Amino acid sequence: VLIGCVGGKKIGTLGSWKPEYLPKLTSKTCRVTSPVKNSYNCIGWAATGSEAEWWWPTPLGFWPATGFWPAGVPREETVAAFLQAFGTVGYAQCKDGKLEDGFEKVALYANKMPWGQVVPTHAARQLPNGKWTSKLGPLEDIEHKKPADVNGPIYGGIVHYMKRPTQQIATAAESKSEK
Amino acid sequence: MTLRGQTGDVQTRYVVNGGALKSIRESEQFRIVTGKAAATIECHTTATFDNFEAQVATYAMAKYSLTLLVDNDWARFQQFVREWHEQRGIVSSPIQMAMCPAYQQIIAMGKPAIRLIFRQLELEGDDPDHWFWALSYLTGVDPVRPESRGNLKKMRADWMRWGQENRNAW
Repeated sequence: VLIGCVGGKKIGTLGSWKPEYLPKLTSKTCRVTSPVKNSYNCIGWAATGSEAEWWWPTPLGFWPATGFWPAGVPREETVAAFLQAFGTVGYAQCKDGKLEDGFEKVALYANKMPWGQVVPTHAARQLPNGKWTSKLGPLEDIEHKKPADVNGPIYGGIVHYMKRPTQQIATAAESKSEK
Repeated sequence: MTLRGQTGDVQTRYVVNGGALKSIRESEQFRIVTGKAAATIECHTTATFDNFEAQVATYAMAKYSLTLLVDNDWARFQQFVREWHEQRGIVSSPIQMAMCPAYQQIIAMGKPAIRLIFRQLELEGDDPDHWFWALSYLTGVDPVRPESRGNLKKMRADWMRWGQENRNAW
């Protein structure tokens, strides 16, 4: 059975990712909503709903600065810098990911790297229907029921929720979302 | 690079960029490949040109024939690309992507990797991959304009422009 496999590679898999990377995802908890695309990542997708930019604080200097990062926010892979980056588009920390009228929410994930540092790994954005949308690195967008559905060995777990007043922008994810 | 091949009953002729073929070593191994319409004879040879060696697979089928020339560096690069995609999985950090062993192996190919990456970027068109760290490391420059950062299409355009203007540098 082919399950929501848009641009995926294996018959019977959810998408083109390795199941062990996202062990909580099943055909009941998620569906693929886009083909594989390199042009944007989870952070840009969560922050703006745009497919135009790859957000990441690649530091200036030694590394070529390949990622977009809001001006004035430290270009460092820390939870604090990521919270500040989301702050530039109106998000502020909140206590949970429950659906709230008039607000849209984002979940920020972090994981402990082999060298011991805890670094942000992923962000998911709540949709108006209460489900969540995630861009999986360079792979597909998915819609998943709960923010913790993408917890696992790569993304680790949720470290913060943020919310902002609902923006009057129709994003690709919302138009693709099933009510 | 332009590679063309022609196969006939009597002779096989290979042309690369108008000439410079040094030798062809015919393999003694032939394989019969059963296709839908007819049997195909597959013959592998090695062709040596001025500055590279290529595996040549010749397929002869009934009245038609097709010759494929495979650039060994390109084939090796493509293998690393497949491994890199496997290794990076679902990560979003370009730093973690660049740290993948296969990406590092591409960088370790040295200067020859530059033309391969530019060729790959051409093939990827409007959805370029994260080749910019490798290009920057291999060439020692970073032509990406600050306003292009994060927009992979624009970053690709900046690099392609640099590549065209500095062909003699790679």
